[in-house]
Amino acid sequence: MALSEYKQNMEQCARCSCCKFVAPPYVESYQYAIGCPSIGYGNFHAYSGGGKVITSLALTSGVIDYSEEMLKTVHACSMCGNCAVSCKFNYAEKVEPLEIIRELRCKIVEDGQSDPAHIQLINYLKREDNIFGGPKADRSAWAEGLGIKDALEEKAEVLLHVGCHYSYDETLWPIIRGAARLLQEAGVDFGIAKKEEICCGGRAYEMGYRQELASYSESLKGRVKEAGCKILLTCCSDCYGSFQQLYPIAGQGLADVEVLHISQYLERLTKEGKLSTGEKVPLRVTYHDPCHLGRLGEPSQPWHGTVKKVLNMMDVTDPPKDVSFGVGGVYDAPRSVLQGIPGVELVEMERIKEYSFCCGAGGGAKEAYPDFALKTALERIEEARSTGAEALVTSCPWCVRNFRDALEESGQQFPVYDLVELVLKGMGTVKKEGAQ
Amino acid sequence: MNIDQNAYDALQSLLGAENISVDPAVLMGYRFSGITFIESLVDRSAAFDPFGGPKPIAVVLPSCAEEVQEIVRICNRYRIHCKAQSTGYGGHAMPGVENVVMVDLRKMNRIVEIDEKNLYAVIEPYVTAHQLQSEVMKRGMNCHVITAGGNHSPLASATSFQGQGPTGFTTSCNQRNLLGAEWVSPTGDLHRIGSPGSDAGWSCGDGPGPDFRGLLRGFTGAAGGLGIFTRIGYKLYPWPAKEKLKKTGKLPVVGVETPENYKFHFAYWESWDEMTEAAYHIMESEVAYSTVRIPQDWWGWFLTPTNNEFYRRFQDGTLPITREHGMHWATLIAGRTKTDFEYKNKVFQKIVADTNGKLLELPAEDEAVLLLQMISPMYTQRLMRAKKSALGMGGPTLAQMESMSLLKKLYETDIDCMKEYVKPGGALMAAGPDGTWAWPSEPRKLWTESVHFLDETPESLAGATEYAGKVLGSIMKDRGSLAFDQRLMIGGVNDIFGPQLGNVQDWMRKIKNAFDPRNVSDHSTYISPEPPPPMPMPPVPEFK
Ligand SMILES: Cc1cc2nc3c(=O)[nH]c(=O)nc-3n(C[C@H](O)[C@H](O)[C@H](O)COP(=O)(O)OP(=O)(O)OC[C@H]3O[C@@H](n4cnc5c(N)ncnc54)[C@H](O)[C@@H]3O)c2cc1C
Repeated sequence: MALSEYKQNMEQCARCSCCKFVAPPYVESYQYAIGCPSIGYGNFHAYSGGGKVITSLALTSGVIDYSEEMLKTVHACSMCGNCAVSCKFNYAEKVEPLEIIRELRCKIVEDGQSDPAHIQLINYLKREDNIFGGPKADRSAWAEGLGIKDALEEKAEVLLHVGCHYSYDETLWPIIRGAARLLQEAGVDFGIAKKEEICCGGRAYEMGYRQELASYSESLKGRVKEAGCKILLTCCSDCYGSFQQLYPIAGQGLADVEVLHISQYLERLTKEGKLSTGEKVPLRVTYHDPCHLGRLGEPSQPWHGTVKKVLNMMDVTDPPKDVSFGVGGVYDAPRSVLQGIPGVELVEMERIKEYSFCCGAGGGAKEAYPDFALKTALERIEEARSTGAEALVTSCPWCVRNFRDALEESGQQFPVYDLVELVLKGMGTVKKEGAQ
Repeated sequence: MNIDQNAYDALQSLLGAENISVDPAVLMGYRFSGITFIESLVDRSAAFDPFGGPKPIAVVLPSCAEEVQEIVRICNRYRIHCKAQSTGYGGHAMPGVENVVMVDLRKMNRIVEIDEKNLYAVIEPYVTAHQLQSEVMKRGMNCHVITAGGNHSPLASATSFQGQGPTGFTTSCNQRNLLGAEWVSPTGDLHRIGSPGSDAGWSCGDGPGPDFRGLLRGFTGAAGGLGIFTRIGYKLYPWPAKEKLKKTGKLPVVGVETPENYKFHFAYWESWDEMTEAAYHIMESEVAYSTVRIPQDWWGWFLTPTNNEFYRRFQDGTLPITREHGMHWATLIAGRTKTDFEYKNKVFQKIVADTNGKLLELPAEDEAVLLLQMISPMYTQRLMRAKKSALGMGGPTLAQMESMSLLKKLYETDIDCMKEYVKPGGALMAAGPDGTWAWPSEPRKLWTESVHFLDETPESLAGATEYAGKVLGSIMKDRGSLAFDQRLMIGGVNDIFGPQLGNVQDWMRKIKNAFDPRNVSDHSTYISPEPPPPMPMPPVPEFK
């Protein structure tokens, strides 16, 4: 749906400000009531989810035009989706702020108003099929020496989609190599697409590049089909969210394979007795729900239909829209894996699951406004510390990297782990053999 | 209209570039109003364009009272208007005249103090009711939450609006929850009112120290038309539950487990007289924590995640609260101890039995959802899921601070007036025979309002106007004045209805001119400095 087609939704915004906070029933303290990192950064109403809805309406109504400041309000936003969850508590599908913001960004791109940092990422993507600009040929350099199958050459039950971040960020290689070692340890028949792997296209879409999502999703779906795998597994929350929410938007839903995130697969392997974490890891941890694994990982289908009036004027959708409230994300699997590691004690933050607070790295915000990403990450780390945890665990390369960068930049210390790293610790054997 | 460059420079050097904006997109966030129903009462056609009213010339983000003072002084110096905004929920928080600098108080968001012993908090403008409630509940207290939901500013509500909400049985209404206050006058002077005026803490609005509450807020509040409040002492109330509220269900149908020594009851009667009698006894015995009546079908909006689901269950009759439960009090009993609870619960049940009422057994998951609404309401917003037109919902207030004895008359009038509009094909939403909400406020007064849903079509608009005229006209005829509907007393309406209310408009004008000689505070939702040309009372529609 083009932005202008959301006019009726935009007009439904009551400017109630719920989008700035976590969903109303879950405001449990003064300090952690805020749910939108963007309003926390920019303060003017335009930075909030509702503010961007107003901007969208003003833009499509010809009341305003582009300006540097307007674009900043749109791009200093990690597209984390908190606004949508909070708005829908009362308004269900009536406004749909996240869908509107996605469309606003697409319009910005179509109108040639992209953020320069985003243009650079897209240039990389076009050149090298990844948004980091690393050479295509090096896509599977991380896997050297691990003896992983080429899933496009040899049939494998599981296709591990690694994603751009793990492929090109060497600081994260221990995590992805560790994940591969865990799969090997559990005897999983898996492969990777090696240098044929491409970006999922999700980040491009969140930055407003609709066409890139269309083409990458089509190609990726083709590769999945070619591989003939049963399971499409990813360690990257961003890719997971793209497969579950964005591919259906692009008409490339992955209905023929089971899409799993590594946390879900580890949980399954543990339950099946194929993996066991016997080594004690005495650590009090708190778990950060990545947005794209949580509320943005909830499987959803785009809706095409009309709004009908019943009872003289009440709006109902025809056919009924399957409204995404965020509750169907992956929340239990990572927690269950963590709690399965002897010695690990899980303490929860206040903002969790569908009302989790973002790390600040998403939607191209980190590239366009690094100070936004830094501020947001530090706020979350502070919340993690407040639980008395000794470490923060998450399950997303973007979150891990952004937290670690923020800690380094601010000269603070607080251990940040990916879930896989803790499982590796719990499996002393793998650790001793070395995941590197 | 653009801001005077010198004024801009002065504001920027005061606040820093990141705290002022004149960008058109940013300014639209302070023009757009999803709900313009208050202006629309005066000029309903004006409400169709969400960007239609005057646009601000700048928006500023002060961090402290001193900055607010300086902003107001700059506005005086350059002859520009200013308007305060806390969370900005509703058209009255947007500029109503040209040449306005919006003062967004978002950065003034501290809970300065919570005094458990003396039951008050000191708060700044952008502390929300949800934030405050979550903190004070940890300490065994509660605060008032208005019907619009906990994401509003209690400071804005207490200083500048009315602040009615369905926990009013215990938590009163915000116009009466205001204690000491800090106020920047329209000339830029900082005053502390009530006990803080003599450095005696924030616990008392009456003093020692000057008490201007009646002047500065009156019954309805000046809605931004008279200076800027920067800090207040705000009343808190005991909250007996010891444990943290445990949430049940999943978004968006979320509830809470019943705390120990608490009980939610849905009691209903077969006549308004019996329901009224029960209300008197509930008030007299003070056994309720909160008690509220909303149109019976509307409870279903809380119990269902979407309009589609509501409609399905409404049609197939599977919602637990139905037409036969129209005359009801949904009631929360909260005991301090087991004995206290048992006493209150028993008394309540006896009142219900003695007045021929019945208790409705609700499925546990539904009860949990309604219980949350009894504690931290979100009524208006959830109802707007059903229909939020550009005109919002309409709602003639039937009684505020009135006698419970009026309940029957008001309901029957509303049902009578509404019936032809809620028929299939009618001008209003066909969900329920009436739109009337009610609760006893401070166990002594009836507060009631009839809410209706209207569409953007000319037919619906005409029908809604006609209905509102009928219901108000009918009550006026009966009671001889409009005194029941002071909620309407916002902006220009004062000059129309004021003559019926002790010429309140003359007093307001005197206050406005005395405190704001340059008319710096945007007067549009308060009173114009000069009287407008005489406006006749709108004709009262004939209604039998
Ligand atoms: C759909 C809807 C339902 C509502 N239901 C209720 C209800 O049930 N009960 C109720 O009491 N009200 C209700 N209101 C009115 C409104 O929500 C309340 O007035 C609420 O207090 C607004 O809080 P806020 O933080 O949004 O204040 P704002 O909207 O920011 O301000 C409210 C008014 O006060 C002025 N103001 C704000 N802060 C200051 C300040 N620091 N100094 C001076 N003036 C200031 C503003 O200019 C504005 O005129 C409703 C409004 C809407 C739109």
